[in-house]
Amino acid sequence: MSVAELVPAARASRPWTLLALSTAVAVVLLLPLVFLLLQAHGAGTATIAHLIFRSLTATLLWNTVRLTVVVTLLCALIGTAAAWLVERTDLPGRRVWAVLVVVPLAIPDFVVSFGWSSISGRVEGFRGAVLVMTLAVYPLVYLPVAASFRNADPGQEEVARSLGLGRAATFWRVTLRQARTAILGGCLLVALVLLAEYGAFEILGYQTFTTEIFTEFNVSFNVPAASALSLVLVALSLLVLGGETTARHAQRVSRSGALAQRVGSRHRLGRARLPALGCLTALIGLALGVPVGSATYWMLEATHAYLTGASLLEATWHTALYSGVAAALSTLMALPIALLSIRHRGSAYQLLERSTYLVLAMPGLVIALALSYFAERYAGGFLYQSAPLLVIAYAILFFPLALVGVRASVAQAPPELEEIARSLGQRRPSVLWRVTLPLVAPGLAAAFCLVFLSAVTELTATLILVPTGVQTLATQFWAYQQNLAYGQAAPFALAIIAIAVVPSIVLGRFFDRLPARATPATR
Amino acid sequence: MSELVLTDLHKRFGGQAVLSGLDLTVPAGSFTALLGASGVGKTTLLRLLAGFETPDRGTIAIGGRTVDGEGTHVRPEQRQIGYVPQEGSLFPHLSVAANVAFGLPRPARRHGVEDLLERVGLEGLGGRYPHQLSGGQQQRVALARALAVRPEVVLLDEPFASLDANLREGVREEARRILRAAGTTTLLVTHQQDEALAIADLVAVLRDGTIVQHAAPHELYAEPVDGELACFVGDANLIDGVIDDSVVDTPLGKLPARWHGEPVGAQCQVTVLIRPEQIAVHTPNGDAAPLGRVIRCGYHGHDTVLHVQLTPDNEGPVVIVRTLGQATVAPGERVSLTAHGSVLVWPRRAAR
Repeated sequence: MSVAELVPAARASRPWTLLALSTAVAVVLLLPLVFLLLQAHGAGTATIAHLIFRSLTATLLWNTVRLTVVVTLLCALIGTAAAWLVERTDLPGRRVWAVLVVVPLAIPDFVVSFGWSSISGRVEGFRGAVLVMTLAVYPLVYLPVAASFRNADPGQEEVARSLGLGRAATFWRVTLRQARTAILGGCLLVALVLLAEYGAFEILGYQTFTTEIFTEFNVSFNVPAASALSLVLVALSLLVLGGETTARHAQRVSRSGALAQRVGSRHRLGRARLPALGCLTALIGLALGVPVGSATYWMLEATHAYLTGASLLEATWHTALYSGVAAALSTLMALPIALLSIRHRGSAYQLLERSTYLVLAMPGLVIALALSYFAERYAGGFLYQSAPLLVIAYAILFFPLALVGVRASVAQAPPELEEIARSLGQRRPSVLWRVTLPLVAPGLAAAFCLVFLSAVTELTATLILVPTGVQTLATQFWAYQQNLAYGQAAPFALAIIAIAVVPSIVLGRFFDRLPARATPATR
Repeated sequence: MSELVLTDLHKRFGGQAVLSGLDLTVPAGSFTALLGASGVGKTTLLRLLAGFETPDRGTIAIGGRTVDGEGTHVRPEQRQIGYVPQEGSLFPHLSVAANVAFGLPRPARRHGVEDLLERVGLEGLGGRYPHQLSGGQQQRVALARALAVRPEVVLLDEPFASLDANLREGVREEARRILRAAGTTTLLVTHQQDEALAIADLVAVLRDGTIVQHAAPHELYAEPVDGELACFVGDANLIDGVIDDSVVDTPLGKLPARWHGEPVGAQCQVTVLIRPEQIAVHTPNGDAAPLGRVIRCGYHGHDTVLHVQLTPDNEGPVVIVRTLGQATVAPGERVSLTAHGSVLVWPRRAAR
């Protein structure tokens, strides 16, 4: 082979604009991590080491890890069982259950926590946290597992039965295997949420890394201690992320033949029908009924003189404004990354996309701390507790969610259509505007809803970054709740739920319509 | 009308050579089929022509204008090439009319569309959306969309593969008529030899990264360059023989022979191509005709394909015989065989 053969003649032009935009997004996303490291560095290595290696850290570690493990396992169990009942059996009223089982996702964890602890003082500490968090986050396992059951090849179960396996063995060796990736993905989300949760634990009086970091930062103003604990928390999250990635790569799910949708026959519940209905009713009652019922009770109980409609309206407006702008920003940020990693081959592009997943390991509290540190230290306090900084924090925090929606849509839109548009004489910007954007519009809408929903129900970062003198629904709820003014807090909780339910139903529909390939758990 | 000239094209993907020194000239205004097995690089070639990929080496010229090579790469949008992919790939968010008008400048989008739809026999369907059309209609819209920008060259990537068999032939003939009327140079990619032979003026066969033969369909079938190609463009019996002047001695008797290209020599070992339809079977009646035993009998309705093992049993070569209609023999029966017509011979090498 001659040298000339090795040298490519002319290359198809590289996507420079896309590359520049994506790099900028990746840099913004990684800023909090950089700030955290700078913050820790500023405190001095010796100080940080001293703050990390003390008995308090061990206590926090034990509290955090045991809760994470127990709740993740319970969620895996409940989420998978519910998904199997709804998707694979002849359970009566499946369509209604499919919606009801997911709705608790729209209720913020701190509202569930408030609902339970305000009606019974016994819901507290470790047991209280297990109860509340399991009920609040099991849908994170239910959703991907239900999707995987829906899309799994029913032929495999039938073949297993014809090969002489009983129902139990088939469930164990075939059905569960099919859902394994989805279960793992759901567990990852649950674990990350638990590591990042603050409000619910504060209410229940259960001490974890986040509650301690929050206290150190907001009450004691001890920045070195807060950043030292943040480092440990981020390390824990990275560990969870890494573990899930390894487990996921250890297995490959392949489906032979075309992805033709064939609905397998549903399992007959028979005499188990009533108990199954009972279990689901109990689950919905505990996860949905208690928080909503309790909030409604407190609201009706309160003397109406306290209720100021004006502050509720104003808080709603601010919540919607910040969440809406953040959702738009996050979706816009996800677009170049998704286009680059799906439309263009190249390991550098993939690496760029992967780097954005590091954000998953950054709890909202840590992002908020890092950004406020940045605002005070480098922006001369100019941005500190300003609306733009809060919006940016939301956009970074929920970027992975936006990417899920946008990525799924871009992957669904055939690249041939863009090529044809070009061969019909259209330049790249025109192709983007006339073909790509209309095709990925549903994904952009889903990404927007996902981020909006999450931002509306966000509490921790909001408490730290909310502009001075402004209240959002979450912060106002929190203020009243802290003062034990349950009657005044309740309307804000109900407003959050009301706002969050709509996008969550829209989302359910979007992800239902995607084939399984496009929605592996978090990517 | 533009001639399409490809010279010494090379393309590798991840270290794997897909095209290696491909030369091909598609005459202006012709309908040429590019035939090749699956995964042989046919689509890569089309994508290079359309400008979606860049060749590692070599040149592509369309109507005398170099679009690739010599340091240039003309972008897809500046090539004036119509591209019709396998599934039609209509824009799902646009109506039929908007699909057809997609490549036209804004003022021209209104008129002309109805005319184009009429040309492909879809008048009045402009308001529909792609999902409301049948597979054949979608393909015709894709064709109209490609023709709307008056391309010099139209590339079709297995456009009929996804259609039902009974629909395929009609749509194929229709497409051929439309493209003829438009007077474009057309290159159709397919892996089905019957489609290539039926539709094209010329067939170029792609194998091992180059064009092994480029000829009219009947010539390709009758005079393939080697045994592998003979088998690729249809069923073929490749049997050994010894040639003496213009007669070849085979297990099926002495047959008139013609060389592919120049005769190589007399009294030498050759490979002989006998098409299944050149052989007839009948009940042995004691004459000198070679004998064989039927080992397989495949009934296809319009014809029957027999596999006959020549004597001695279990050792002689197996030949494929095609007879019209239903065969009167059953597996295990003994038959005698006669071949008719002249046969093609190549010097015997490692020709399978």
